[in-house]
Amino acid sequence: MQKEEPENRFDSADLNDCVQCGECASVCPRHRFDQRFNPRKWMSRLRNVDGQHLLHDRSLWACMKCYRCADICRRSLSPAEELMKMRRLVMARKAYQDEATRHAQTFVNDIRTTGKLNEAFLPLRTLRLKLYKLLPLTLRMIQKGKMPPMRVENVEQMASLKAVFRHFE
Amino acid sequence: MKYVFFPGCAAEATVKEALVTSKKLFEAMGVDVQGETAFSCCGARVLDEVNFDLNLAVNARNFAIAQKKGRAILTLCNTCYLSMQYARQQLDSRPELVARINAVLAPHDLVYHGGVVIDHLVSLFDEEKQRAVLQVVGRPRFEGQRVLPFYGCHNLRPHHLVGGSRMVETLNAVLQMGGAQIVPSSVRCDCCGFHTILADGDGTLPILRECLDDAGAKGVDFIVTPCPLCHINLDLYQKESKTDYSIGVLHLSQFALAVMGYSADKLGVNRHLSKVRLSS
Repeated sequence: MQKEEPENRFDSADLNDCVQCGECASVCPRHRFDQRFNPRKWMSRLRNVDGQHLLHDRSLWACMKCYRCADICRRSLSPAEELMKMRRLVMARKAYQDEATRHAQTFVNDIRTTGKLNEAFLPLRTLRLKLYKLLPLTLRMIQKGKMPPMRVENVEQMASLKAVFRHFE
Repeated sequence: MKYVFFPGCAAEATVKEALVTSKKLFEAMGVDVQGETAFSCCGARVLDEVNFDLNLAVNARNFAIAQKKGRAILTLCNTCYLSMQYARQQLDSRPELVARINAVLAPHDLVYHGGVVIDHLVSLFDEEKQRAVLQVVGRPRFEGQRVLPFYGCHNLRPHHLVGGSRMVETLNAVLQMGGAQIVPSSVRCDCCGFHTILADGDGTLPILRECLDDAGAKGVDFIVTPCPLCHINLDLYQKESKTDYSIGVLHLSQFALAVMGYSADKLGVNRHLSKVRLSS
């Protein structure tokens, strides 16, 4: 069980430092292809602490974590990290469930169970019925012997990992 | 430097050829590296989208395991590299959290002492004398080949965490020793989009396509990448991206072994989905 609010202030980053210069948006590859995702606008909107309405904007998950925004920001902010904080809120509050949240939850579940990701089942658990989109790729992978193993062995010293989950999840 | 190997989940599964060739590379270079079966996933910067402190605790456990062996961590995955460097920086600035984590780890004979050392495979080639292993008699394997180095975002950024520039220099030096002509990507085309390819394939594939089209338009013969996750996108998803080109993508370890003279069948390139045109 999480002991603290998801928005841990792990850095001294203050959203009010953002001057809305827009450099983050200008270097963002996702924004270039889809203007609905705008890191500059997110930085402005995230200042609204009671961001209940923001919880449901799915463009939250469009960020590819390339960190061009973090490197270019002259105020030492990281829009990518700020978006992650909001995602933690979405996950903590179970605001909705879709491919993106299922993807994140599958990581947690896999690591808790065996310590490693089960890549064979990750697409199914993320996409569910929409897995049909990956069918041609999956067939080619099977043909080439590239399918990851269906079963993932537990890592050694699993007891210490379970203890970590008991105390911090 | 004595290392313990952290291949990451992808290299143990979908891109197993990266794991196998990396081990051959360590042997060829005489790197002192041990395996470790207790390592868990690094969290991949997805675990901390769910629970920030849990991610740090999971990483602290991995660090404690390495420190118990008195070894530094050697990883071949960019995201593992960033994830661990990030965790290290956070943990080393939050002693009260480390104390809480160590209280949980102590009954299991594990403790994180702080200051874990984490290196990426690329850095094995940092020094000229380390690159000497790539020196061959006669013509270098990739002479005349146009090669695009795909460094991978998480080896470059955020700069203060992963110290970008050495990665670029070293990878370029390795490619040059192989005789390759380096073709740089456009500055806009350096992210493969791996982290959203599953949950948002439709939105990501055009971005991946741009990377591949950029390489193809420049007449690139190969892409070489140190990151297994970039490899998954560039190779596995190449056809899905609908790029007009067909470009072979090599892991850094495969490239290095090829330069040293290993034949194509020893490199695991038959596992790739996109054709690699390599002389035997």
